[in-house]
Amino acid sequence: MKKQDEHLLQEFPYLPNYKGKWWPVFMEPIVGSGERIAVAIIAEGADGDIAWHQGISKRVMTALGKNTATGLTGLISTAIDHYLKSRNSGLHFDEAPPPFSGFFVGAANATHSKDISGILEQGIRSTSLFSSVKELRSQNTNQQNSRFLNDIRDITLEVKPKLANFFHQTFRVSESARRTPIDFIGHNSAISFAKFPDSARNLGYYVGQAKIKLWNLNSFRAFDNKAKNDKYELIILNPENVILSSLTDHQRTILRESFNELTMAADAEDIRITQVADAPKASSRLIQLEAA
Amino acid sequence: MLNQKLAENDVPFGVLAGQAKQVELVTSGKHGDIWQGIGHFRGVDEIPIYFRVMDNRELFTECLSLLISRYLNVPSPKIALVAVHPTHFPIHVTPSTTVAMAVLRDEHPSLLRHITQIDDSPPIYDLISKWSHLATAAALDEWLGVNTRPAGSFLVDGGRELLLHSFPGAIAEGFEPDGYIINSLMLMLELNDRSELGLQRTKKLLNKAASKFHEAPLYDLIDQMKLEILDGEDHIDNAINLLSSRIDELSGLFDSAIRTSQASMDL
Repeated sequence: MKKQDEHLLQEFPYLPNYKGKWWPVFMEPIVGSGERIAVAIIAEGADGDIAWHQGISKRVMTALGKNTATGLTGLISTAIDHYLKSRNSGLHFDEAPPPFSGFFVGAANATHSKDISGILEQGIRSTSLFSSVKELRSQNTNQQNSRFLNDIRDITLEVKPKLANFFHQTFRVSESARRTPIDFIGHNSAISFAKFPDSARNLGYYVGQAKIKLWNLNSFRAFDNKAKNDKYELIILNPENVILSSLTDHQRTILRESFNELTMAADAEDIRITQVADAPKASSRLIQLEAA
Repeated sequence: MLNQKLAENDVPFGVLAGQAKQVELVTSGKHGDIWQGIGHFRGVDEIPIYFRVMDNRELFTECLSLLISRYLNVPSPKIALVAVHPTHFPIHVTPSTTVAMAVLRDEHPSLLRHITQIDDSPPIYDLISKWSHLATAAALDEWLGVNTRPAGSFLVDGGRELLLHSFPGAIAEGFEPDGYIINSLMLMLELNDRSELGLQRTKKLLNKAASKFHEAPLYDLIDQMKLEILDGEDHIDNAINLLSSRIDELSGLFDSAIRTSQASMDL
């Protein structure tokens, strides 16, 4: 290799560490016609994690009409159930017999990504024209957010089981108003938890969610002004100190500026913002606030 | 405005995300095989790509041509550079890790496809000959010295839009500023209307398109994507000298290629 080639190759990123495979699941709408539609993608990570996503988005399903959509969704779920059960019994997805005639699993595609959702997304982008990457991402983001909160709850309750009833609280500013969620309302503190991403995926969404949580805390503070809580805090899981390898300089700057913007807004309302690196640290902070 | 246009031309550096033999051959041609796979890019995760392995000199000229094309608003796809390894391919393509030029299919669903045949497919010929950017693309090919325009150098988006993603033979070493090429796109443009008035109009369209070529910031485009790593600085200077000199020859080249009975008419 020439010296300038070596110099050039240094400019390229490293591959993500997570390895996995994805398989497209095809269906022939007219059995025997040879015309196949990718109706689902199944992904399996090297760590054994398995995930799947329907290859036809909700929007496309809606266009098919309610009865057809319900029937097709049921058919796809049943087929996937069958493939997952076959996998549990030791067969690879592409070795399993078809659940119904007209269903096929394509060849395995071995690849790298950040996590199992990244592997799944590659399969969708490569195979499935009727699917929605946005739908998958929003599903993953919701799952990750609730996973973070559930982790904090589980860790906290191991140490302080009495705090169980204080998680997942809501309040109403008036009888007719919708319920506003606050992640934790204890005797001494009201706390919400937000998450900043560890990759560029959905950067704007995460920042927006943190702003909503801050807004909700502020509303609760106004509502709760004669109550006992004197500590209002937004705890943000910010993996900036942990992993930032997948962010560009520009995205890091956006992330930092968003954090500064949030902090300034919180300061104005006397709400504290704390950054933590993981769920155990968030739990320790919660216990500390509630104990004081 | 200039900065914004340059930013749109950012060329990401990536690696192939798929493990061994996970790329597929899309089309083979005189100008190399086109493969498809998944690229991993810093900041944008993994996305499907079309890519072609070529030597550094060609990589430099193709990238520069595409950046110029995008800058001049001739429809061209987003490009990237991707490091590929011999084990990625099911056949022998490269003896060691090398850099390939990739076309990003970052929209989902992406209907971008290569055209595989022009002559045998009247709808495709029709699509190209009626393309709204044909005159600008023909003038650009003349400027860059693109001496062939095979089917595989076009992408279709599933509708009426075409994209130019390859510039075979562009900015060739030793090519003279007034060098003659067979300009396929110009020929198609000419065949659209061979009347005297039609030819005069075609020539005017070509000259109008070429009058904007001075605006392309060649050195800035090269700086921005670190193209100097791909090729020595001598080549960069040679390429820029060639392009700068050839701009002034374009009007004469159009006159020689499109023969009209009368001198230029004021249409």
